[in-house]
Amino acid sequence: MAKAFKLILADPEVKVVLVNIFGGIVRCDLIAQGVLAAIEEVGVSVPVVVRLEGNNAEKGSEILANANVKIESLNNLKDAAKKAVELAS
Amino acid sequence: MSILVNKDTRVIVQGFTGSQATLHSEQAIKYGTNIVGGVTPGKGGQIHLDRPVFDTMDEAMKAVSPNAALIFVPAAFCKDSILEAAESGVELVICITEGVPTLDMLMVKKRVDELGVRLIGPNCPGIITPDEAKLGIMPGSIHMPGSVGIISRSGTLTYEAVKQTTDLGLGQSSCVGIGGDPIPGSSFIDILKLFEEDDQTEAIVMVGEIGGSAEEEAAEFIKTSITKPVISYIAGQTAPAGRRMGHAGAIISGGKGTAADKITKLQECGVHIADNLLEIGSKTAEVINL
Repeated sequence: MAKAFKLILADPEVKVVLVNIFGGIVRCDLIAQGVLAAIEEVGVSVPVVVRLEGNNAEKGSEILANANVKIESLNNLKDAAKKAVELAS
Repeated sequence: MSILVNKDTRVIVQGFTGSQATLHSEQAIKYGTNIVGGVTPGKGGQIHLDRPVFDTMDEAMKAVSPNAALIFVPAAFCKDSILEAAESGVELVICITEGVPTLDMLMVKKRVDELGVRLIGPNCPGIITPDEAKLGIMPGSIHMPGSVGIISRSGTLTYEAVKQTTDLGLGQSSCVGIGGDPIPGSSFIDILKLFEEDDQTEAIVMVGEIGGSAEEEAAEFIKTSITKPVISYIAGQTAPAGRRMGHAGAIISGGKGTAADKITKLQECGVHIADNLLEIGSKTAEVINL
């Protein structure tokens, strides 16, 4: 996850990062923890929007909601995309 | 009815004792899939997940007579595993592994066709018939028995289509991930034929993506040979040319294989297009209720 953030943020034009996960076998709470760890490690300065759906999605959203970092967490892709565009402009 | 797999399918898992195979076999067994054993060379005679382990497919065939093989072995060994399964006498081989060399697949594809064995994948989520059998890595919980047949080159996009059709109460007859590689064992056309013949399937959702010409070929086939409504979504509408988008086969090369070309062709052949990933379910409901 940290590597993915680094790759994306290597482009200075990136104004917002949208993480879209449909947890099939992967658990969304693990993903949420991964996102938080990555943000801490990489030092992300742009807004981050996360869409979690599937396995343990609620638990994942809860983890993100209780984090110190400001992350927009939604479980609907449409809303998440809209939010990302809104934050980018 | 359904296609390819049901509660009576006798499944053997190749690479059974590995970590990925163990995880997904556990889930499949919990889902109700009839896994009759596994194959891991050198571990024959052991019991894994309460099922017998064999050294070879031939031994497994003699002992538990499987009719489908599900493969979780590392990419470098897939060629051997697929051929071993195909020659053992199973009718269906599903290879989940990503990264199988294209050159290996050239040989494998020729051989399985000669043997008349159906291969699904590689680099795919597998096949599920809701509430009956799950031969793959998809999340079982989002599926629901119903009337929509789903074929896809992408795993996660299949899940999106599945969840939407479940949320709308349509459900699925079977869902088949054909995989994202340049040489898949089965094409859209192979699976379209099966859904056409399946009574339970009322409409077919085909999720394609940029690269290659599988969608264009499927479009021609749909025009001449499919009477059921087909709804399609093509991923990669904003993909830049020359860049591989996640899958080995998902690349616009020499200006060919763009989403726009595929969509135009599909529309010409009477396929209903969902413009947006989030409209696959609603478009399907709309088409079914026409």
